[in-house]
Parts: sequence; C-alpha cells; structure tokens
Amino acid sequence: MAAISRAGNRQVWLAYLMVAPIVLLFAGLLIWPWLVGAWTSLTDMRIGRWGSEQFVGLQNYIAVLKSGAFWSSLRITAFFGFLCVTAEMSLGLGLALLLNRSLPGRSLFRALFIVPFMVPTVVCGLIWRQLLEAKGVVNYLLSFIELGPFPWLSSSGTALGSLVLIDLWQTTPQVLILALAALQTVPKDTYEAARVDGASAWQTFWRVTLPMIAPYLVIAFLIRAIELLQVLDIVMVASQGGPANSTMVLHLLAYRETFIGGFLGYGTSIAYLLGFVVVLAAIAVIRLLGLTQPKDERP
Amino acid sequence: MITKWSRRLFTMAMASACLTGLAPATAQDVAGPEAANIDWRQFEGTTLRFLGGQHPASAALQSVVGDFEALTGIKVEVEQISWDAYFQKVQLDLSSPDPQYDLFLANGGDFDWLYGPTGSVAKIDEFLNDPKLTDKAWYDLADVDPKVLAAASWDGVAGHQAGTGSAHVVPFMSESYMVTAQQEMLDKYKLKLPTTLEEVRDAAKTIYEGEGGKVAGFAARGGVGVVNAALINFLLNYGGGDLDADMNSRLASTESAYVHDLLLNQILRPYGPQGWLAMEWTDLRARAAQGEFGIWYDADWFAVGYEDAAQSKVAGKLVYGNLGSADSKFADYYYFGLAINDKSPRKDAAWLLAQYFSSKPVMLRLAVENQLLMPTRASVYNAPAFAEKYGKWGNGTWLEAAKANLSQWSKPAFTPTDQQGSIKNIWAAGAHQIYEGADVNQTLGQVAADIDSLMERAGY
Repeated sequence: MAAISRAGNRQVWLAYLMVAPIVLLFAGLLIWPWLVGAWTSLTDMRIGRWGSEQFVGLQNYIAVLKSGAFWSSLRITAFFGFLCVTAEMSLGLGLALLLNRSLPGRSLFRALFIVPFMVPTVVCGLIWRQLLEAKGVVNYLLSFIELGPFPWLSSSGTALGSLVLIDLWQTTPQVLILALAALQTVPKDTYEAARVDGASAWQTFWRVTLPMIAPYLVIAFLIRAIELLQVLDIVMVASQGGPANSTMVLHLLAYRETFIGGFLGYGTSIAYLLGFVVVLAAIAVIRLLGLTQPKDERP
Repeated sequence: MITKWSRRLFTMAMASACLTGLAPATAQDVAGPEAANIDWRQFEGTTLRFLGGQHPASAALQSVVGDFEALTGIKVEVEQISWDAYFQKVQLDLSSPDPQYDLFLANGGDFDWLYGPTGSVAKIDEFLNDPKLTDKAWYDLADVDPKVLAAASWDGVAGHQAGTGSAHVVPFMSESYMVTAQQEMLDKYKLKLPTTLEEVRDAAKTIYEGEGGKVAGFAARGGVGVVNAALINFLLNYGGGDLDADMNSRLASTESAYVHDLLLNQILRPYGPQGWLAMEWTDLRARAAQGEFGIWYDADWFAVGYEDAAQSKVAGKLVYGNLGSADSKFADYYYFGLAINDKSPRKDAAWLLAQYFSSKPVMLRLAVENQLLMPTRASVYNAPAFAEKYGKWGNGTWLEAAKANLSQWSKPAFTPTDQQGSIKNIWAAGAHQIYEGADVNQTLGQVAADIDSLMERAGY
C-alpha cells in the first residue's frame, strides 16, 4: 500500500515537474509584468524621476475616476465600440451569407473582401486619412453627385463616425471569416430537411442557420468587443484624439498621460481601469455565450 | 563678372549686418573635419544607434552617415519612426539601464525640458571640455546662434526661463515662423503683405471673397500644431503668454481672448481652408504648394517645398515676411539636435557624431546641397553659396525675413516645463472648440483651469 502511495506521489511530482516550465514562463511573461503594472498604478511614479516614487494607495484611481477626461473618454470608447461591433457583426454576417452561396466568382470575392484585413492598421489609417481629407478622393467623388465636401475627420461632429467607417472597412472581414467558417459547419442535410418541411428562406435562416452558428458569432463578437475597447492605433494615426478631443478613446488618454505627461502611475491606473472595463464586457458576453447553449449541453 | 561678385559681396555684407551678435565667417573659413585636432578614429569599430522621428532632420543625418563612417570607422544605424511611436520608445529606452539607442533626435524644448533636468540625456559641457573629444577652435561653438543654444538649456527650476542651466544638445537645425503670400494674389487685390493679425483679417477677407471661396484667404497649422505654430507666437506679440512665474496658465487673460477670437473666429473660420481642424504641418505645406491659400503662416524652412518647381505650383511667385502685432513680430525658436543617452556606454563616440553633424562644414553642405534649413551657424548664413542659393526666394524677402527672425524676433516662446506636451494638447482642444463655435472666454477659462490642475498634479 505504501509502495503504491509512493508511486502515486512520484507521478504527482512528475506531473508538476512537467508543467513547471510553462507555468514559470507564463508567470514570467504575463503575471509578473501584470503585478509590476498593478504596483506602478499604486505609486506616484513619474518618467525620468526613477527611484523617487511613493506608494499612494488608490489615490491615482480616485483621481482618475474624479476626472472629467476619463468619463468623457469612456463614453467615447463605449460609443465607438458599440457602433463598430454592431455594424461589423451585421455586415460581416450578411457578406458571409452571400459568399456562402454558389455565386460566380465566389472565390475571387472571398479573397477581395479579406484584403483590407491584411492591411496593417497604421497603413490603413494613413490611407484613409488621405482619402477623407477636405480635398481628398472621397469628397472629390461625392462632388460628382453634388454632395459634400464633408468634414470627415476635421469636425468634432463627424470624426468619430469617420473612424467607425475606417474600422468597418478594415475589420469587417475578420467577422466575415469567422462567420463564413461557422456557416461551413452547418450540415447540408439540415437545410434539405428545412426545405422539405416547407420553411421559407427567412425561416431557415432564423430557425436553422442562426442557432447553429450563434456560438461562433458570440466568439466573434467577444473578440471584436475586446479589441474595440482597447482601440488605439487607428485613432492615433487618423485623428490623434481630435478635433477637440472628440475621438479621445481611453487607451489614447492612458498613452498621453503616461508618455506625454510622464505620469506613469496615473497613466497605468487608467490602463488598469480600461482592463477592468474589458473584463466586465467579456464576462457579459461570456454569459451571453452560456445562454446560447441548450441547458442539457452545459458541462 | 564684376556685377556677379558685387552682388555676392553685397549679400555677404547684408548678411553680416543682419547677424549682429553672431561671429562673422565666410565659406573660406570653413575647414573640413580633417582639420580638427582630434583623433576621429579613436572609437573605430564602435556601432552607434540613433533613433529619430520621421523628419527631414533625421533624413539629413542618414545622408551624411556614410561620410562619418568613412572618417571615423564608427558604424551608425539610423532608425526613423512615426512621432507617436518615437516618444514612447524614447521614454522606454531612457528608462532602461541597458539602452538600445545612443542618440536621439531632440525636438526642441519638448525633448530637452523633459529629459534634461532628470539627467537622462548628457550635458554637452562634458564633451566640449575634453580636448580628446573636441577641438574647440575647429568646432567654434561661438558660431552657433547663442539664442538657439539658450533655447536648448534649462535648469529644471519651475519658473526659470530657457537659457538657464547646461545645454543638452547643439542644435543643427532650427525652426521659426514667417508669413508667406502669393504675390499675384496680393497684386490682384492691391494688397500688401500683412504684418499684423488685423491686417491678415482684412486681406484674408478680400482674397477669400474675391476668389469666390475657392482660395483660402489665410491658413495656419491646424491639429495640435495650431498652438506651437500660431497661437503662442501671436500671444507673445499681443502681450500674452502661456504660463506666469508661478506656473499658472495665462490663457484666460484678455490678451489671450483677443488673439484666440481674432485668429480662430475672425480669420480661420470664415476665411480659412476647408478641413482646417485636421490640417497638420505636412498637409499645410503640401496644400500651400498647390496654391490653395492666398496668405499663410508657418515654419520658415517650409519654403524648400514651396520653392521647388517640380512639386509646387507657386514656386517663384511668393513673398515672405515677419508677422505679429504693430509692436513686434516675435516667433518661437524651435530646434532639432542630437541628444546623447546618458546611460549609453558609447557616449564619447556618440559625441563625435553629434559634433560632426553640427559642425560648420557639414551644416553648410547639408544646407546648400541637401536643402536642410534652417542652419544654426552664422558661418552658414554668411557663406556665399548659401546666399546664392536662397537669396532669390521671394526676390530676397525669404532671406530677409529669416535673418530678421534670427537677429531680432526668434526666441523660445514657451515657458520651460516637463508638462509642455500635455499643456499643448489641452490648449489645442480648447482652440478647436472655439473654432467650432464655443464661447471664447468660457472655453479659455476651462482650458486655464485644466492646465492649472495638470500643473498642480505635476507638483508645480
């Protein structure tokens, strides 16, 4: 009995030993920086004044939560994320349904629609910044139908909407790819059965297709929501948070406080609050994912 | 032949007269690096890494790196990245005990006032006073405009102005501001080049209305740049400023309200260019060269683009001058220099590069052959090749305005503080709101309150 127990202990230790490298790597690469960041956010650390930082507890978080700039940026970020994710999910799913049908040139269209997703975000921002200039290509084309010129990125009333357009162009293909992959998993005989039962196209989509691809769509939604809440690069390149701070998203606010103002502790606390918002959003979506699965299939 | 030499001599005499306070020199005085009494090859085999934002200043360094490498045996890796990424990378590298970069492109006080007082970048004195590293006679620091050297130094004490403390770079390129106009447009409407903002308002209205709104009457930089390329200069000339001696904002003052209202509400909104709020310096330079503006105000060295007939529709058709109030034409004195990372183990080798790059022969070559304007050395302005190349722009008005700036009007306009970057962002957002119709006094009151709150958080 004792021999069996010793053998069992050895197996347990062996298991720990086997996973130790990856756990240590994980701790080194993810948990340690996270802890350092959390500590930094609890200090008054300033860039260039190394070694003089003091522990200030939750003072940075309180100051951030009391600042109008934080709440304004949170509103802008949430609004931008909501507009983008709603439009991308609708457009991405619509295009996926279209490209899932037997159309002439389907492969070509599939490739073309994916091209924007392959363009680096910074390049995409620069291209669209040029296109949306006061005397840019878009306004030039609109002039043929006697519209415009629109102040796309040069008015606080339209800049955020213009960023939504740019984001739609670039990342709708991400949803399209996921939705198209999901559609491939729906068995053809399910459609056959629906057709035999006399279901209309709308009924087939609503009662057959959507429930079967819903978990994939929720995953796509989750990924995009998290990415959009953390958006930075496209804003930095295309509008730099302006005009009049109308596109000042949370991530850019954290960046400016940290790297322009040099308030490392304060800026990090904004970044951690942003992380908290992202986690909350993710939990909400994961709960939604749980609701999409039949109860008897849950573990 | 006589006429040609007479013209040259006259130009040189004019240049010397304008550059009062600067050591006179001519092209004949410019000795090459081989004349310096230092061992250029003492760090042979070393590799230096330079990081700069995307800018002609970084590109200029790249253009002479080959010659420097041949002279010294030091290899130089030049990296240029976007400005936003640049600031982040600089912060991270300067805070690292094992830095990647030996030198950075210092972009005016924004760089030196932030990193100089903290000791992150080296002071130039330690290199200048080492005879193994610097031949003082050859390098001739007195040839560099003392005002631009002063702009690059601050002792880190709140309320002290630029010029206190040690310098952290020797600027090799400066930037000040001037007004430019299409001569044909002025002639067409019988206007003279404006010298005050009130004259700008009247001329802009005439041009805009005369051209049926197809040409902007007046343009200045938009985006965040409206602060450092326009508002601060006009504030100075109309009796205002950014911060008082106690480091409180002065933007809620009567003078400030007058300038903001005049520039934004009475000039740029009614007679300015379309899409002004998003018009960065690159956009302004390109659009001006396409003839989209009648009159505009921005950096002196942008004339390189305006006067390039290959890319400009207005080349050879411009007139330049100094702009301000009836009393003065002050303009901010911005600069670019090579800052040396204080933690770099190759600081001495890095100084050789900084010294070489800001020396007389290299600056003259870059100015004349590579059109890197504005030089910071009197000897370059006084060189016949320089006057010959640039004396024709605007029928001589460009050189005249540049020299007036250098001798009389250019000065560091911002109060030194490590928070200037954040102050400019707050200020620009307020200016944008005013341009979009917000109440001037109320907005400036909020801007001033936000800046005061920032300064309090920063410990001022």
